[in-house]
Amino acid sequence: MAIVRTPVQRIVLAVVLGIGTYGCAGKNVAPELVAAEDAVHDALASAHDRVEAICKPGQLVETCKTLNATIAQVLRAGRQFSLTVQSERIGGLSVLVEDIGRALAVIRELPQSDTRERLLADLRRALESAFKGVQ
Amino acid sequence: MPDINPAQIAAWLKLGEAVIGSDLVKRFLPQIGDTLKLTDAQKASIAANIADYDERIARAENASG
Repeated sequence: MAIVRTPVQRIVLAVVLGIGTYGCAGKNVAPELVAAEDAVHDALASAHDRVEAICKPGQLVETCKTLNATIAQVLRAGRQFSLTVQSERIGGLSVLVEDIGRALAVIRELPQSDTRERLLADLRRALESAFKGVQ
Repeated sequence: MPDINPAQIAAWLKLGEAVIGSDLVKRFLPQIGDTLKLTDAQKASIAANIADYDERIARAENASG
């Protein structure tokens, strides 16, 4: 992202991303967006499954409270993205990206482990899937 | 994706959505708002995902106390 330095460059990039988000003239972007919506759901569901697998009653109580609150927020953002696509509107990607970014930051603070790396991989996959849908 | 900052991208996307989604822009480019048409099967697939989200959100909220 080093090429985006000036306000004008940022505005141009924002417009390009916006056009990508809203689709280009006349093209029905439903197949791409529905595939992205499904892939985002798969990735976020996988992340949630991992959290549930390690958060058994009485184990890692405080860490799991944080993890569950974080994953709940990301799931809400994913749900909102799905609702947006379902209502045949194109948009809502910014909130999803923002919330996944917050979740990545929280999970990066956890101690190094396989679960942490897999959670991060799931969330990155959700981000990449969302972007594929608007390319 | 080590060189991508999600918060920064989200801010750019918000700006892009605001610009492209504005009434003024749609007035000159009316086709922009009419590019997503779903089939019934696609709608059903998304509805199933939303129902799954609902269940998962309830479980995660319950577990987060």
